[in-house]
Amino acid sequence: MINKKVLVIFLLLIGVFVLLSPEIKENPRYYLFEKPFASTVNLIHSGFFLIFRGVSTTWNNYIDLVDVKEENQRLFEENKRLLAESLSLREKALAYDRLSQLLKVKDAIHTEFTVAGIVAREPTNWYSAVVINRGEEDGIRPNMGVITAEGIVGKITKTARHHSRVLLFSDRNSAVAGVIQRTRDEGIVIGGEGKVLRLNYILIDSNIQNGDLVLTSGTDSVFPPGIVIGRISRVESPQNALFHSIELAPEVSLSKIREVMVLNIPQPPEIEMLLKEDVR
Amino acid sequence: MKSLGWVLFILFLLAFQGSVLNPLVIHGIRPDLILITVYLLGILKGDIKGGLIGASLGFIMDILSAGPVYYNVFSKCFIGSLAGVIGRWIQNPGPVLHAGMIFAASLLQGIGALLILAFLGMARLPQDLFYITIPQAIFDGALGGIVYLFLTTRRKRTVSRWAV
Repeated sequence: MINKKVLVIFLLLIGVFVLLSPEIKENPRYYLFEKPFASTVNLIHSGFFLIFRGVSTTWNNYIDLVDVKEENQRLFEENKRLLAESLSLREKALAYDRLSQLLKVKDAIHTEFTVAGIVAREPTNWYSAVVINRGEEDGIRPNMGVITAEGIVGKITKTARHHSRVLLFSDRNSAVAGVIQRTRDEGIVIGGEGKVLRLNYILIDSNIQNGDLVLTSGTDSVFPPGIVIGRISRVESPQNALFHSIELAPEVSLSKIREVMVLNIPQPPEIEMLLKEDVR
Repeated sequence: MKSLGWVLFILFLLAFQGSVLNPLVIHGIRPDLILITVYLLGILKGDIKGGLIGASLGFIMDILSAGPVYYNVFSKCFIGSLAGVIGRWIQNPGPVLHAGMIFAASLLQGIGALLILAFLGMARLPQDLFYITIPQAIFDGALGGIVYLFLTTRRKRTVSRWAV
């Protein structure tokens, strides 16, 4: 009987803790009691990531080798004459692709960035977040934007010494200021509907079409203008409505990204002040 | 030594749940291995231990999650102690019954999470129910049943080997 009473009291205490927890969760730094747990599990995540990546790379290399061998046998006679030339051209094409991709990103963002690897994902199905292996010691701060060469990924919400949490743009709490490239209409892109994003506040008289590209507008001080968010995949214009109902297909496949770039954009002084107040 | 083994197992489980390359993810839904573990430990160890283990695991899960409240600490504690009570009252339960119980526990937990999100104005109904809560409950139930079947088969084999 005593055990039951203890259990009920324990559950009630936890219930109170749950009610108080939003204050803890909203803080951009880990609380003192959170740090040891977060650091230990994130360290294991990093180890896991390295082991899995090693196994996966070895396996893929093996498969590639088998494929290359078969392909070589089949095409050897036919391509013998052109082999040297095609290899050289292929290398040049790959180098060109990589350089133009980098140039494109560099031209678009005009800002410093830190490259980070994703070591863990959100353990529940309710939110979309990842953990990266760069933290406060690498200059990562809350509210920094995170992108890849293909487009935006999310923003930093919580930092520790060697790890940071990135809230992905597909999360229900996420919002990014966006602009439609062709018409220059500005709106807010929000997540929370699986692989589909939603572009809100585009006036009904705006002439938008499926396939229009949506970029960051740069007005949120998190992302510089011109970074790809996604393409319009569905437009509904209900009668007597003030705004279009727009769905976006993101350009970045969030389940496949492994490396990201964390942007170091100087924040306006008032936002810096608010962030410092939050941390306190 | 045994306690160290348990700590390592729990850390491994927590890391595996949030691993980048978790092979158990189907269509973006990852099963709640912590829930399954807490349920099975509750069955084996009783309501008090089940509740305490559930609270500890849920607490660490909450630290690692981007959710706006510490919810798992409560839900896992509740599920652990509930499993302890079930374990005491049900005789010779089979894997199907356990699969059903884990399905119900996961569904209950999902509905709780949905209510919190609705309270915070962040729920998307009915999509969250049909695309997250129910598929996850089915996945958790099926996986929990398989794990229980695996564990009992191993146990029976060990017992029969000793009996000979």
